[in-house]
Amino acid sequence: MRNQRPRVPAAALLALSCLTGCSTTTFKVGMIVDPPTSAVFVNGTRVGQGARRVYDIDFGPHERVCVQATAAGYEPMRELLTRQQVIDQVEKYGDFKWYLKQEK
Amino acid sequence: MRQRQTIPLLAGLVFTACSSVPTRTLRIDAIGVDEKPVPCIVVVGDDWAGAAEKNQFVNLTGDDTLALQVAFEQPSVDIIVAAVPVDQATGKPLMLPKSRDESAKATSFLADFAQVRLTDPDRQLFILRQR
Repeated sequence: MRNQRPRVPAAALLALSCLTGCSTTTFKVGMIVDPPTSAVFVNGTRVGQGARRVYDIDFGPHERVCVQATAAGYEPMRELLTRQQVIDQVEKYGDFKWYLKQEK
Repeated sequence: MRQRQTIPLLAGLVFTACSSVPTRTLRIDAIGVDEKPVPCIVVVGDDWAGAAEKNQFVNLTGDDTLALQVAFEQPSVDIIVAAVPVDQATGKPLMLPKSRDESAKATSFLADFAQVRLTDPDRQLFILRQR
């Protein structure tokens, strides 16, 4: 009798590796923007306000994400971040901290 | 002899495959620092006349986005979003700026600019500062 290896564990392993691969597109990123009334946008969509919040930053199929912040009376900020920049920030420095400059 | 004919044919095929320019549809939006929509012209590269001809405007009659087909002949494309004064009655631009300076003089906004890569997100938000 041939000793057949069960196929289910291999399929499960493959599914698990896909899930692991997919999960790396989203990162939890803490962000503080001053002034706290600032609106925060990720990829052009408003996601919250300046007081500290943790955002789910999803790269999806893209190489960079665009994070922007704006408040009336202040100069807006825009940063295009790669996955590596996000990972480095979170691991080495923690939250992103942005201070918007007041308009002259 | 046959090999002599095949080489230019293959070279031609390779050239055709390599010369096809990738295109993407970007969704462009423009707001002021107060998050209110700003009527704008959307300029690719520095082609201000082309932007007007192709009707590349956003927020002329309210809050909308522009679906903009962009050919990426280079790894990144420069996009300028500049405010335009609008006739409120007709929803048409009162003038067509040909530079960022002209736009700033005609409105109270400074143009915004981004270098967009082929692999960047589809939705591009431009935030215009007050002059």
